[in-house]
Amino acid sequence: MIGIKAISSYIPKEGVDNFKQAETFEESASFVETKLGARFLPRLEQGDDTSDIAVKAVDALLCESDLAKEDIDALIVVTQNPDGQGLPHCAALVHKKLALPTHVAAFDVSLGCSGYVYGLSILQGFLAASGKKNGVLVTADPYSKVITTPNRTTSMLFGDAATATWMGENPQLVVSDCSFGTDGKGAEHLKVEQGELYMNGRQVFNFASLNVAPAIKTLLEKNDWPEESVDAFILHQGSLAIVDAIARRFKGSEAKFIKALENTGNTVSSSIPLILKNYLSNDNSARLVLSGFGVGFSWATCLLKRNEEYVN
Amino acid sequence: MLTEADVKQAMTDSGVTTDVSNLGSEQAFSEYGLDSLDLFNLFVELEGKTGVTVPDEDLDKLTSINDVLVYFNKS
Repeated sequence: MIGIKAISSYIPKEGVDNFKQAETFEESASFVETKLGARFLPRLEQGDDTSDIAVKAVDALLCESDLAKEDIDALIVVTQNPDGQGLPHCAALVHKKLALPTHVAAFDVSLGCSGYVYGLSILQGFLAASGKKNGVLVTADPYSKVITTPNRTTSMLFGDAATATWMGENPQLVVSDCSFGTDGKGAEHLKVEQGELYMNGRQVFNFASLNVAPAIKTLLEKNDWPEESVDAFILHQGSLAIVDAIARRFKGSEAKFIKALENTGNTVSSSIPLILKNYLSNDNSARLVLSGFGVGFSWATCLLKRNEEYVN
Repeated sequence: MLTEADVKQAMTDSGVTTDVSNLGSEQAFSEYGLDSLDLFNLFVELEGKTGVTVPDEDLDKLTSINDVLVYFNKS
């Protein structure tokens, strides 16, 4: 059985005071606290690129878990903002900087906020199909690289961070089922043009608030998981307002929707694993729902259940 | 036919936390403390209830309850 064994992360210490930044856009502290949800937005350290924060996350994983470099069989990096122009692929650069063995399969997955859930499924399937044992799923998508001029729609939302998830045998959490969706008509609403991020905030908000809840409910029904049986709903932390808008569609279960972007902001594909790491080892939650959604438009939902046979 | 009460109810249903009971029909949403995300939520709610879609280019024209009523009731 392959599943999630450990998660580690890297969050830069330096960053932006979002209250001060909001003043420059004539937005109130209340707007920052109750709608955006991010008081602080971490930013890449001077000289760091995407592969560097990916390496720092994997280094943390190697330090905090029993995983050894020579045991890694596969490395996936989820990013749409790789070093340079993405050629070579970021996973190869991470492989080099970590001095991983040459037997490692390493490749990138080009997805944004749905990328972690996609990545879990891709890595699980890859390991199973290839007979390999240990894979590392990295998320590293520092949007500060494409928000270089002040922009009221994007500057106050996004933070930089990276995570590394170890998938292998004897896991703590197992992917029970997943579902995916794409609406390419939404591609024009969130994109990079001439090196700068463009976002139609209203269209992205509408997409998420209308599509995510039905996707979750359908997957729950398919698996006979009543909403009340779920211990926590861990959604992509697009903003506090979008998590609230989705949670409102789950009457009676709103309190189970985790909100944790105060010190990170929207970290794209890293937002879900940054929360999920708190549900390993010292937690007894039996059923978790993950859902990522964003650029594309793309969305992905999965059900996680605790492996009762897990041996620490 | 959308009414002022319907719009205020839609605000509450869409998670607007400001007490809108004293919001005047001519009063600008922004003056009353409603922000852009409150309005995103409101229009998702109203579009769902009425089947009327508000294109992005029309959004800036809808700054009060009266504007909303005129827009939705003629559509």
